[in-house]
Amino acid sequence: MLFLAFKMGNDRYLLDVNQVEEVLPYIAAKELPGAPTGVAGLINYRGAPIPLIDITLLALGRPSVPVLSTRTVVTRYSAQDGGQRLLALVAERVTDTFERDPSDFAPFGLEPATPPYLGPVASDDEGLTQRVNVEALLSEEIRAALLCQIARVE
Amino acid sequence: MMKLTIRHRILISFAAILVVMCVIGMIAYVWFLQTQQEATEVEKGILPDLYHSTEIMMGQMTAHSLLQEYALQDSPTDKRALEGTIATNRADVQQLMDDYERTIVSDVDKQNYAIVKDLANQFRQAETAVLDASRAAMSKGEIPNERPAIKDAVEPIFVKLQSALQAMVEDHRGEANSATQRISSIVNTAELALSAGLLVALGLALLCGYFLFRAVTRPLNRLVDVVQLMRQGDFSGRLNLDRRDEFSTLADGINAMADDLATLIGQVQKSSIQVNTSITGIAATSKQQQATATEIAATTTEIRATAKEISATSNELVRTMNEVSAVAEQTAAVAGGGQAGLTRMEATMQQVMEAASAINSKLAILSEKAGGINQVVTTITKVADQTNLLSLNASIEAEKAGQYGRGFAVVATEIRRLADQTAVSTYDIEQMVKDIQSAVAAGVMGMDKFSEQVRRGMEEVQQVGGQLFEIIQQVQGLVPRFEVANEGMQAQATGAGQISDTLTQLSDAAQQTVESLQQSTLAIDELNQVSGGLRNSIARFKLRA
Repeated sequence: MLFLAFKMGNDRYLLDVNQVEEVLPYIAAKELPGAPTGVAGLINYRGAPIPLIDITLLALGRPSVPVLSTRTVVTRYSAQDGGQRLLALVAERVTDTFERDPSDFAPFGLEPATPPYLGPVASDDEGLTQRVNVEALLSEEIRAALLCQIARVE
Repeated sequence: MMKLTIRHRILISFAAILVVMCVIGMIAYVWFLQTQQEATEVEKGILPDLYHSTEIMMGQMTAHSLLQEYALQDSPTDKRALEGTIATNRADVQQLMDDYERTIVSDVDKQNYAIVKDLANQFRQAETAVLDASRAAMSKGEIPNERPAIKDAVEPIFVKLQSALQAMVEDHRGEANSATQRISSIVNTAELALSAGLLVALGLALLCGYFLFRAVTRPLNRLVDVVQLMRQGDFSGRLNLDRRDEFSTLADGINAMADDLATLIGQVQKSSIQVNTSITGIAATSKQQQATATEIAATTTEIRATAKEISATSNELVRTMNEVSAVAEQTAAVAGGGQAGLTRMEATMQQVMEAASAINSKLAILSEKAGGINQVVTTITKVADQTNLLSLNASIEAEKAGQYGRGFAVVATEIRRLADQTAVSTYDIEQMVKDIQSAVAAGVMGMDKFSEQVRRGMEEVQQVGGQLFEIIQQVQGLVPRFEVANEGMQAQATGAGQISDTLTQLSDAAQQTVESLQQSTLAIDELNQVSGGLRNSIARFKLRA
């Protein structure tokens, strides 16, 4: 199973490539005034606006550094109404993929105290890596608000 | 009492005595008036009354006697003669009685006179009766015998008339006596009162005199005491008489005079002390001046010797200056050689500066080339980034393709590895270019500094050349100045000789100054003695603290 790697601070995190639609260079977003923390704005992806979330801003409280290795990852997730939604993420050091067995990941026991999008961890020769769930990145409330705003933009 | 002035006291004393004397005089005057009144009364009233009443009595007595004589006459002729006499006497008596009646004043007198008048009329009627009877008898030719008629009718009336007249005379005599007694008593009283008044006046005069004496002598004694003290030089005492009169004014004057004198003497004392101090200071100063003058004399002698040495030294200096002049000319020649060398050195430095600017332009070209390399490296970096992105997306698509994408996934991974190696190499190239650029920049800076130093060195060389030129000029200009200095030195030698002569005169003058200062020291000693005498004579005055 293949995972796309990125970094938040000094730590490495993994995204399931099956959820990844495409990796793009860093794109400046159209800002959404009044949006919750972490929502960087909207980008145009193949003629349609999709929300952009700065995952470094969401998790660490600082925006991602705009260098070549900082890239935009377009992900897909299943909405509650059964349809497929696109969500763009900005992350640092998106330069590599890793082959992992799903059984390598194990829960770490502190899940209730951490944000819901952090998944189980796996260890390798470079230290511990943690999986990130794209569906859990947005709460229902924010998701609804974003959908509302997107509808308005459309 | 203390407020009265002496003048007032004297006036009051005299006025008191005068008042007493006046009172005595007035009382005495009143008494004398009374006495005079009494005397006038006696003279005008009582004595004429007494005289008239006595005259009336005498007239009646004469009438009685004439009647008796009538009776005794035998011849009718004699009787006729006597009748005439009786009538004359009767008229006289009547005249007297009328006069008397006009002088009557008192009631007692009036009563007495009424009785006398009545009895006199009775007597006259009886007498007339007797005479008528006698004439009738005689006309008949018989010898009249009047005796029984006289004895029976006239005698008792006459006795009564006599007694009444006697009573009247007695009354007037009594009045005269009482008036005399009153006069006497008034005179006695006046004598006593006058004596007493005189005694009172004398006593008052003595008392006033005593008080005046006291009022004058007591303050006078105190004044005399204070003045005595002041004569002995004690000005500490002051008068306080507790009164407001001429003596207090005098005492105030003496006090003011004593104050003024005390102030004056105090000032004189202070001044004498100051004079003494000043004289001591002057004496010390005079001695110092004497010492200084002596030193001046000695110093003048030393200066004279020094001036002679200066004269000798000046002559030596003249010779030395000639030698210096020769050396200066040689120096000017050497400096000229140095200036030519410096001009050559300046040209060399100009060449060095040109070479440095050429190096700088070469370095600028080098820096430009390095910038070009940098642009190429940036392009390579972007290509590597795009390659990496492509390989990522290729890997993801290969994974999604599953079994069919296996081979493609391997290729994608290999491409990503190559892109990563390219990125690392471009990073190395970038670092090397940066090193070159910083080295070039350092070289440019170093060359700039070098050319700056060369430029400064050139300026300094130019300055040194200018200075050497000035030195040459100045050294050449020195020669005529050396000649001027030479002349000045000779003039100095001459001047030193003149100074030496003048100093000899100065030394003599200093000696004379010393002698006159000794004389002034003697005079100051005498002044000091006089001042001491003044201070001693002032010191005997005692002043109030």
